[in-house]
Parts: sequence; structure tokens; C-alpha cells
Amino acid sequence: MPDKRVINISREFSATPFGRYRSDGLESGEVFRETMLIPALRESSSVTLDIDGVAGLPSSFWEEAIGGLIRRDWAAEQVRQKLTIVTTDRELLVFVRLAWRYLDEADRKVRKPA
Amino acid sequence: MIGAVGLVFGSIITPAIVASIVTFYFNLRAEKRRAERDFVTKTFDGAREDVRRAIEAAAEYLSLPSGERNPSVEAKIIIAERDVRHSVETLIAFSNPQSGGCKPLEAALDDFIDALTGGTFGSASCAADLPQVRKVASTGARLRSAISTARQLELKEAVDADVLARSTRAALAYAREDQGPLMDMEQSSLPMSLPTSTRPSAGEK
Repeated sequence: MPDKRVINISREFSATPFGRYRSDGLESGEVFRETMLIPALRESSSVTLDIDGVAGLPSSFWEEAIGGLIRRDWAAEQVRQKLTIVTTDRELLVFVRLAWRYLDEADRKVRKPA
Repeated sequence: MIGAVGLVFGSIITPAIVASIVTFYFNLRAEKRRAERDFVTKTFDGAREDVRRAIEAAAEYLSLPSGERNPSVEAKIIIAERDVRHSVETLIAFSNPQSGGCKPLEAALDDFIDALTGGTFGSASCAADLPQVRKVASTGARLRSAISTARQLELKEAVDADVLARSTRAALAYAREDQGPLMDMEQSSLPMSLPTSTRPSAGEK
């Protein structure tokens, strides 16, 4: 089992990720989460998501990929311990901040009693 | 004869040369500062314009069901989103963290980017998303306001730090009051009054 996995979204998935659900296309957040992110989190002790090189990460894609982890029964704390999101591009920094916001918001919604 | 030449040099030519050198130096410095301010002002104005374009494109796109959404408008949103990220992150990088404008700008940028390509953006089957249109418009308005506030804070900081501006204000204050010695520089650097809200206060029409 590899100890550490690095995923570069633009090289390994898509440079132009788009859409929330699988029905929106093969570059959607759901496809990314199910085919890349969750397997990497399961198989590795730590995962680094490198977002350098993407044109942008539409919020619908990004929320489904990150916030969707909580809806797929991952604990926010567990994700925080395993996942690191990095970029060297100043223009993409907003997506690093948003990823943790989506994780926390999804966690709050899941915990909130119906 | 030599004495007269010496007198002319000593009392007229030398002071004139010194004065012209000093004037040249201050003009150069003022010109450089004005060019810097013009550049930053244009960047701030450009950022506000980018946000406006993004809001308009999002309103056009999200107010239609997915089947009627125009790919060219979708492209406009993607371009505008990138422009906004570029310009606002540039402003954040330029801004002095101590001016207090960076954090609200960053938070407003996050909210706007979240709204702009969130909701049903890119969805293959959905109805018109009017709540998202309102969210984009309100977060966009807040970002435009945060950009303006950041600019005001930057200008205030620049004016407060400028020795010439402080001296001028001190001199003006002295002239107005027409009393006592020239005010202490620290005392003269009174904060510029900045509006904290554009809403009229209670009782004000």
C-alpha cells in the first residue's frame, strides 16, 4: 500500500473539470470523487491533491468532489487528516480555501438534525 | 569684478541650481507615485468591471432551464470567473495586509466564486435557477463593495504614510486655526474619514 499518493487533477483527471453529477459528464465532481479521490483516500495514508494546471474548478464540481465525501460517509476529521490540497498558482488559492469550506458545510448539514 | 561674479554665483546661480535639482527630484518622485496610484486605481476599477461582467453573464445563463442555456454565455462566465480571480488575487497580493482590506476582500472573493459557478452551473438537466441568480448578484455586489473599501483603505494608508501629504495637512490645519505653532506631525496625521456604511443612519432621509 503506497504511503502517500499525489493526484494532479489537470494531468490525471481533467484540465477543465466541469459539472456536478455523472449525468453532467465524465469530467464531473462525482466521477472524480468516485474514481480517483475515494480510492486514493482508501488506499493511502495521505493524499495530496495538486490543483496546479486546471483552468478553474467550478464550484458545482468542487463542492461535489469535496463536500460529497461527507455525504459518502467520510468523517470531516478523517478527511482533514488524510487530505492536503496544494497549488503554486496564486489565482487558484481561492479553491484551496473553498475546499475546506465545502467540507465543513457538508459536515454541518449532515450533523444537523432533520 | 571677481567679487561681483562670486556674489552672483553665491546668491543667485548656486541657489537656483540647487533649487532646480531639488524640484526635479521631487517632481520625479511625485510622478512615480502618481503612476503607481494610477496603475493600482485602474486595477481596482478593472476588478470591479470584471465582477459586473460575471454577474451579467451568470444572470443570463442561470435564468434559463438547462436545455435553453447558451454555451457561449457559459463560456463568458468561465472567462469572467478567471478574470475576477486574476484581478482580485492581484489586488490582494498588492495590498498591504495591515491596511485591513485584505481579509474582507478574500472572504468576498470566496463567496462570489462559490456562487458564480455553483448551484446548477454545468448541470445537464435543471430548471431556471433564480435563487442562484440572486446569490450571484448579492455576493457580486458585496465583492464590488469590498474592492472599493480596500482601495479607500489603501489610499488612506498611502496618504498617512506620505510625509509631504502630512506636512500639507498640518500646514492647512495651522492656517485654518491660525493659532499656535505648527502641529506635531503625529497629531496632524488625522485619519481620513471613511464611510463605514452607505445606508442612511436612523432618522436620516
